[in-house]
Amino acid sequence: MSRALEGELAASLKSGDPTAAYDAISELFAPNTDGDLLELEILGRSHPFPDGCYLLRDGCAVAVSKLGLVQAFLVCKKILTAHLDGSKPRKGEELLAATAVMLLMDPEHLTAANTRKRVLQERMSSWSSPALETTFKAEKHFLDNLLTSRLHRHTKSPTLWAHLQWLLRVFVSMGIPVDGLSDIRKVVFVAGERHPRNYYAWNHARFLIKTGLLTPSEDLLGLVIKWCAGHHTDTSGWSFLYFLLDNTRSSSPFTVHRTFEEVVTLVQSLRLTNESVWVFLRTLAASPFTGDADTSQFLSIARSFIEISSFSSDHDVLRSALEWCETYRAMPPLADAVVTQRNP
Amino acid sequence: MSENAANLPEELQLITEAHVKYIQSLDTRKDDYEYWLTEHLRLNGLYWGLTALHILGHPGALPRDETIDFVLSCQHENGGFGAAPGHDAHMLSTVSAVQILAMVDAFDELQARGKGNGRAQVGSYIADLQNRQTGTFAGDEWGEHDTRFLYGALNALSLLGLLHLVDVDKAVEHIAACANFDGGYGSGPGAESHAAQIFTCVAALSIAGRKDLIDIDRLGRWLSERQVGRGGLNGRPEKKEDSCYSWWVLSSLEMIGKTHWIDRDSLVAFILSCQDLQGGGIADRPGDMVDVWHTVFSITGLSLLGYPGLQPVDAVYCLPKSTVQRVLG
Repeated sequence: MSRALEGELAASLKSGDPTAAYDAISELFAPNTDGDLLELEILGRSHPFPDGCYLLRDGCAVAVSKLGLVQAFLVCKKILTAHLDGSKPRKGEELLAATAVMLLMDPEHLTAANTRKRVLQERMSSWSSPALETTFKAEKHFLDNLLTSRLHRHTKSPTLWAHLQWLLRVFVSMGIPVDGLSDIRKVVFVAGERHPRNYYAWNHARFLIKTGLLTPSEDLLGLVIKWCAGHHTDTSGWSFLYFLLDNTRSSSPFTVHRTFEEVVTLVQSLRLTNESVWVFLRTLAASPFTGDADTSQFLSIARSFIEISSFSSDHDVLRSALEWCETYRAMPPLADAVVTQRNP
Repeated sequence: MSENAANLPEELQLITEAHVKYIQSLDTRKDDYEYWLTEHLRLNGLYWGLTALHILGHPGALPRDETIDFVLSCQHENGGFGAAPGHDAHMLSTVSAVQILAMVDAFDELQARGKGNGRAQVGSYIADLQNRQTGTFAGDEWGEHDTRFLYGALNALSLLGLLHLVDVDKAVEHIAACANFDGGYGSGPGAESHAAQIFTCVAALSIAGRKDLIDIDRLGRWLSERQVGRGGLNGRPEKKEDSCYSWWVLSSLEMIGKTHWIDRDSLVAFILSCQDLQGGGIADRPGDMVDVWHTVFSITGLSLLGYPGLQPVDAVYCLPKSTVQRVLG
């Protein structure tokens, strides 16, 4: 859903009941810590809703009327503005309700997201631990809903992902356990599938590793290889796989070889010639932590693919891969000569 | 429509007047719902629109006084700027504010009418966002770190003459840690290589005078592989071409002296095909809806490509060269 409003929609906005729209839609995000994640969609002009109807629900599947959402957003904007300028301060629950609707409308609304952080932070100085745990888990549930939805902009929103990272740091500071492996499977993998090449979702995966909320284990490696195999045109998945190898090789040199073998088998059996997987392989094959035997195998596979492939576009990808690997296998990166920091 | 050797078809020309009118129209629809729906991007949008107008050769197309008044109305007591009045301060909108004031030559107005002690107040807002242990910059008090914010900080501080407020060496170390084996750079150490993040890292190193740290061949090769199909550029492997990468990729190539590693003519043709010939403005791809983001980065891309009739753009600052020369001397 883009930010633009179609002409008819803009005309319809002049009628209708914005407060009713707000009441209906904000109910969707009443604090909830468990239950299945919603499958959220926003439907515009192509799916007109009956008068006075702003939501359609079928179990976990929820469709929100774009017209209703825009009307509700304008109500929320007034609430938030009056609160921030001091003319009409609101309680935490009201602000959470209003900002939830605003973020549903536009996940990049930074002030709405920050207002939620302020509400939660204020609660930290006065609420009991059990109540705080509930409220923070409800916040995570709210975010997980948006990040795994079928809303194209939400699943890749840097504002929402950063908000989740702030929240997880709060979890850690309060001793609330975080199941990193569950987050990878239920949030990152899903967001990565909803929005291909999802930069911020996979950035979050790195956050989980770097903060120790997720351990780079053999299990994790297996899951990621499987995800990449099922989404072989997704360069972000392959890039995360490389990141994992770069971070785990010190604990198990064999994992590099095993990964290499699995990906090569996939490429050969499916005759894959797409750029994402070949960029991954050439980078891996040229990396200093990859053994010579694997590198040689890569080069010979590349050469055999070039011989038998008939499309010139494939040739470009394959020849680039071959040349790149030959060049950079022999050449250490410039960065090695510079003092670098590897820790965030 | 008749064609002869002297007249190129309309779709192969830059329709400057239409783009100027499109940008001017963006701020006049205050009774439009869309205006309020995009309020949280307003200051950034103003920077994008104003930059495009300057490069198109129409610097006066937006009223100067109103522009300055609006920018200053976005400032908080701590010196930072939000995207619009009442919106939280953030590095990105603060940088946009500084860039806008630089273009309209209004640093003296900032000094006279800005919060606290003028330029220094803005400088200290930005400087306080640096993590002195790691060199990296947060976007705001809530702690998101991204090389975009580091670049923004060096961009704005250098324009304000306040680069000494931050630890540039530590910032440089951080960027060096963001260099990937594949030649690219990401939003942080070990992050996925991405053309826009590459721009932020290379431009930050340029401002810091440390381009010697860049593996030019490796990076140049990664960037040159962004050109696909009809000549447009993408931002990562196997993605669709998108007109805004005409800036992120090309400016990076410019900064490392390798713009000849892509086919410039086909890129020009691609960018021009993304124009909306009826309403003005430029889209990400031919036929899609236009927006001011894709408009500015297509125009700055065309300027780098030497398209006739455009003002020269500074590859490091993404501002008219005339602005950068005036401010930095």
